[in-house]
Amino acid sequence: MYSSCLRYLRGEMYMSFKMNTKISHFDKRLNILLMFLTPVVIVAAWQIASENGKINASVLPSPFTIGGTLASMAQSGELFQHLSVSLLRVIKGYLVGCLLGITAGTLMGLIRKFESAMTLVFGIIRPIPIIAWVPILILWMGIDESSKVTVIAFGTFFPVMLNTVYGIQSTDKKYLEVAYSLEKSPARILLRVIFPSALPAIFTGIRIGLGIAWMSVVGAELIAASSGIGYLISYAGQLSQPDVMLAGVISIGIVGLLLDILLRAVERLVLKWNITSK
Amino acid sequence: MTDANKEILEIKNLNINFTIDSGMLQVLNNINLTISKGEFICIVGASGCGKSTLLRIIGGLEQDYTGSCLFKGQEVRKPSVDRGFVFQESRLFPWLTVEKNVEFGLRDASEEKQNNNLKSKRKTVRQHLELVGLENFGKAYPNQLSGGMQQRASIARALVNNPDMLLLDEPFGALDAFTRINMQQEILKIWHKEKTTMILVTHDIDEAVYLADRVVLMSQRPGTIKRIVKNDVPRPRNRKNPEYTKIRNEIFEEFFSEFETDIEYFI
Repeated sequence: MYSSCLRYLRGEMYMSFKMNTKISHFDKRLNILLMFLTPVVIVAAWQIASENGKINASVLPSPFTIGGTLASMAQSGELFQHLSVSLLRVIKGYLVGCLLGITAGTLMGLIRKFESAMTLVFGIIRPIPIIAWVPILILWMGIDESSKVTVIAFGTFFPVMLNTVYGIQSTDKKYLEVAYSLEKSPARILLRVIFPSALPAIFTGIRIGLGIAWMSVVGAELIAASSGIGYLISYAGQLSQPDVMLAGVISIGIVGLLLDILLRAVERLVLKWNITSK
Repeated sequence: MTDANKEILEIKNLNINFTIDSGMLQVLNNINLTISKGEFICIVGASGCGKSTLLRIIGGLEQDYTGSCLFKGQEVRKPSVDRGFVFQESRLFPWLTVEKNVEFGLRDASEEKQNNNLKSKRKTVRQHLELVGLENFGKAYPNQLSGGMQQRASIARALVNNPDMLLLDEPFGALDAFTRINMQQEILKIWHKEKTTMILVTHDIDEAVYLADRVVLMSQRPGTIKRIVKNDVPRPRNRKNPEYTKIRNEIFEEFFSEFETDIEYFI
């Protein structure tokens, strides 16, 4: 048993080291099957344990109960109403955060002195958890939309900014020399050489940023809101409705996953050249 | 070539030093070279002799020299699209298609209004892709091309403004032997067609003899011009031609005093 396991592992490792290994059709299907199998097994075990009374339904309802709640909330429109409120906040804050992050990152990447000037300020602010800002921002901006949008923009800003700085600074000097030898203006060099070469790194930043933005909105809504998916969860908590709480939590996960898939599709489209080179 | 004797480049008493680890390194020492319009010049030397530095000065990529380097009577202090530069690596932008890479070579539209015309722009790009034999690969990305094709594209990019002079820094050094010979014929074809003055840096003596009207031999530390060999072997050149072999041997002997000649005499 042990030795056959070892042999299998060795085979897998060999396959992963070998370059250009064509994944067979069968393997591809198996991988997709495995991807879905794990959650199905977990849910099935959970369902069985719930039905046998091994899990207290008032603490953790069965998957069927949660599914039913999710379905009825979806039908009544309650779920989508809260999700769309949260999504709208994310879109606003995320766009602001990306814009500021790319702008600041570009300036810091291009101007060494500006980078030095900002290093310590950003270095101190960056490790502060986003949620810690919520009460402060509510004090400054009130409990309305702007404080939540600001929190999201804040959370998005740092990964975007850091990856942009990295991308801009790692532009190959050889490409810059080509542009220089062709008498290109600084603006054109920035737009046609530096930006495109930094784009893969910037995309990494905006993908991390989207995850953080989505987490920040829920965090902000949990603390202070009268709508949104975070509010839905915290309100259900006060009414001790575990099925509603879990339905909310699961929908956060699903939307987060969908957002990442969407952004990855955009990345594949925009960075076609970078993907074909891999 | 009607005005073949017209000087296009004049280098006089040119020196350049690099600062390395707080020490001064004399890279080029008292270089004198005059190049006529339409000439094909090859600069040959061992690695580290400063031949690439010399080319970079002519290209305007190195400015801290003393002495003079006049291009069409004007001091060279910065790059110009009138002197196209081809690097050893193709240096094509991987995010642009071959077509767009060549188009990037065009003069900025703001500087030259006539190029603003999208149609004429496209036509120029197309003509130059045809010139290097890449007319069917315009839409491809650089990483989809072979090394030789990438270098063709980068030559097209340097030629797209119809420069007076093309500077090539070991352009075929990274290619395999077959592709290299192929590219040598290709560059001669371009030279015949476009009448561009060519300066090509190489460490391949055979390449220099095959291509050049004059071969500039450089010795190292500090880099000086050892000799300039006039190459009158009629074109199209045949590598087995006795005149060709004679010049090649002459250059070999210049670099390696104990040249093994016995093999050559078997032919």
